[in-house]
Amino acid sequence: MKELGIEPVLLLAQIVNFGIILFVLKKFLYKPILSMLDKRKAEIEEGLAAAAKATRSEEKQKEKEAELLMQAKKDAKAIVDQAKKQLEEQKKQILAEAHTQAAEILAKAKTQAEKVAEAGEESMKSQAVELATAMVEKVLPDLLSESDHRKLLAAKLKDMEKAVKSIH
Amino acid sequence: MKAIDTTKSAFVTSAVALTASEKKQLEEVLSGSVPGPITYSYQVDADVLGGVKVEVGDLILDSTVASQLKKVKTILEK
Repeated sequence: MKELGIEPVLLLAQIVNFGIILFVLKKFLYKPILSMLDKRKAEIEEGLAAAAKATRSEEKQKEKEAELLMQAKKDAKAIVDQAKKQLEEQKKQILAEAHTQAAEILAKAKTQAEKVAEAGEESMKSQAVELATAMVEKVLPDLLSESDHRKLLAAKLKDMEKAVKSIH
Repeated sequence: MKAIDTTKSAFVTSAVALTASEKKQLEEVLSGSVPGPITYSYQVDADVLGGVKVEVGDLILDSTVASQLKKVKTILEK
């Protein structure tokens, strides 16, 4: 070994020194630093997990909101459709009522017109009868001669005789 | 005691004055249906147009042309 230039005592001393330094570094430097690094790593991992959790939670929330929005749109559409249907039905009802009323008014007007026509006819008939009667009353005295009166009286007296006999 | 007067009054209306025989015929007809004595009152009214009308109390015998014309008018107006 001396031929290679290696001093065994020195080597041993160096090995011991190295050992002591390694021990000291390990105890007072490596362990705290490693522990700190582990701690930092754990914190970072924790943070990442929390962020991932928050992201998932946010996504779930967004999904929920989207679902609620869809449901709200569906409900709104249903309400609008229902309102349209009701409006349509009301429209039909109003139209039917209007038709019925129009038909009633027409029927009433027709009846009224018929009544007016009837009354007019009655009036004309009445006037015609009145006129005819007046003409007879006016003309008859000049038409009937004395002998006509006698014949009439004879007939009437006979009728009177029959009437009196029928009473008794 | 006073006797009750049962004489009835007959009012005869015609368009022309009745002859004596017509009056007699009329009186015979009435005496057959109205009991008791009757006094006759004759009047001429051109408005009856023809025929004769007799009124004795509640009994009215109307055979005038005017009344028949009225009946015809009523029937036509219906």
